[in-house]
Amino acid sequence: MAKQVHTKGESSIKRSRFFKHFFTYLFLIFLSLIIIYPLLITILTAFKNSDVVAFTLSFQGPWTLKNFHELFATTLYGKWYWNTLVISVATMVILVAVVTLAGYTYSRYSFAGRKWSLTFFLVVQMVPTMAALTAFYVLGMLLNGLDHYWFLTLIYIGGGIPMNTWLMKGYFDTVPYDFDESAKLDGAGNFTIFWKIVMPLVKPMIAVQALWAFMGPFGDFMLARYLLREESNLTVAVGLQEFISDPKDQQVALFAAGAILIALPICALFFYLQKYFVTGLTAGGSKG
Amino acid sequence: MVELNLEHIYKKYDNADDYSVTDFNLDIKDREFIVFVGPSGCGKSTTLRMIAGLEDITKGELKIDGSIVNDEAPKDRDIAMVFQNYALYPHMTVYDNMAFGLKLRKYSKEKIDKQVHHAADILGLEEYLDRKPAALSGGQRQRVALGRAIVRDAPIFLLDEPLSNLDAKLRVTMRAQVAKLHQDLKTTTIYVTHDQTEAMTMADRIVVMKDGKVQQIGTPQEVYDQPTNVFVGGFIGSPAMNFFNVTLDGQYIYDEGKNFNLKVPEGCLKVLKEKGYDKQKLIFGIRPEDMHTEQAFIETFPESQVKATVSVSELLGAESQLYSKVGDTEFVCKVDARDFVQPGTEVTVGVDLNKAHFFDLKSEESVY
Repeated sequence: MAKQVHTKGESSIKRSRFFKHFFTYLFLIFLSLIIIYPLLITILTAFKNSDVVAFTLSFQGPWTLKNFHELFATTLYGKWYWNTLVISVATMVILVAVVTLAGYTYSRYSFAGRKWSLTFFLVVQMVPTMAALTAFYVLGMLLNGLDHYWFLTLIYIGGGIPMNTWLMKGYFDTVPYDFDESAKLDGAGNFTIFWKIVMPLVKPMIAVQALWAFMGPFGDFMLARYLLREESNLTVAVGLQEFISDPKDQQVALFAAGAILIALPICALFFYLQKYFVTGLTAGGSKG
Repeated sequence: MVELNLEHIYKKYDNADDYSVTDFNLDIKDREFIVFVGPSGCGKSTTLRMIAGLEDITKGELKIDGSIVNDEAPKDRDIAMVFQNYALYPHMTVYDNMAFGLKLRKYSKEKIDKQVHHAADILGLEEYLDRKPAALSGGQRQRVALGRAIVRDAPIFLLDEPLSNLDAKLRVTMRAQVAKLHQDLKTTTIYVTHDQTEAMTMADRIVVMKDGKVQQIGTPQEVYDQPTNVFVGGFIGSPAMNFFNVTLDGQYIYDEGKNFNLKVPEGCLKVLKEKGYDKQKLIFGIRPEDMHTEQAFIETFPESQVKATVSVSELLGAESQLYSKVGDTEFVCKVDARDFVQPGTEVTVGVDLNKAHFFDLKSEESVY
């Protein structure tokens, strides 16, 4: 009798576990389809010959690298790619440097206007980029920055500062102040405390910031479209759009090939930074 | 050789109305082990942090070896400190944690190596030198924190509740280790704790604090035997001193309900009368170990008896603690384990009035 009850209970636990997993997997499969399906179409299209069969999910050949060859031989794609890389790297390096220092300052020091400026940051980043487009354009004209990378880079950096400073500050706040004080007594100055003690502990956030900052220019269409002119000065996002902007002559296969190549540097950076995406770096330092 | 003088030190935080530390005066001699003790929020940690240079001194002067250091940066004061939460650098190994301060002070590699290994040897940390703090137990982390301080060979050592995160058994072990360290190194040490046992066992001199004010400074024995006020009497000693509101009448003191009538010894009586407490109310304090239930004591001092009801009794092995009640006043007596009685029992307790303390009812200051 007792045994029977036991097995009954066990099987009901098994059943409920099955249902729990069933729905979890169902949901995951559904989400994967949404993500993988368009990705797959783009990849397949990139390696196919004709634009006619483009944008259908077909695994039939013939396969070719012609699109990639054409991309670099007959279009300005290579130039656009280089432009974007330059802008991305510059944005990443400067933004991360500025935001890290600003976040640290906001987290560790009190100064006149600290609270006020933090609130200002919060308000400023609520204004959508779209609303500021005209202002950017006028600013570009005044500074003679239209069609120049430095101006676009500055806009990207400026746009990233408020929100990312907040995030960095929040992350710096999680590093106990005890570490700073302990280092102070050990004889460390302000910069040593920042560089040797606190900075290593916020690497995960710095890695995230770097990745975001790098990805931004690759994905941004709007600002680049408005602020860059010459065809040879465009970034990839704007350049690629040229391939499909003519309704009568949509070079879909070329577009797909160009789009896929964008993923390469971002993936590379992601895998390089992956080792920093771990939480709990501060574990063990203070009481357990 | 180092001496520390705290002269009329005050601390007020920017957004506070009141002073967190008021008129703190203390001269610390070379090699002395000083313990600041008091309940949380009494200003003991704040005072320690002012000495370290982590907090500004609002008023007063802090002197190290005669020179005022109020405005000197922490690193220039040459002070080593152990934090309550250890504050080990999580991304560095035990070795690097200990070597960090020495590297910043530009010691040679060989010297750093020698000093780190020496400290690790004293604290039994040799085998953990390559580990990160996360891979250590609480006690080991605490030892690393100590090691980081002693490796510096600083003349002044500050410890901010260093044992409060450890479990009871480990705390006792580490307490002995800290005491031994001080005996070996002879570094001038200031130790902050809320645990009166730590204060009693380790200190050369204890500073008892409350609400930012120093209540009493003295050796453990002085503070225990001659508390300056009700607070110190109640804070130092475990279980705490018992207090009764009594009236002095002739040779006797009695409580409000006249539940007991105790004869005050001659010497004490004379002092109390001279101070004008005859027919006056005062606070009578007696430590739990000065209350006896042995028949011999009770028979010898028939005029020192209190009849009480035991409400809770704890048998601790070597002794028992009887939580009892007389009238509305609760008190504890610490008696021999053989005198253990069940709760609810009526007991006769003999009070050793030669060990009595008397305090003024209003000011709560000691009068005898």
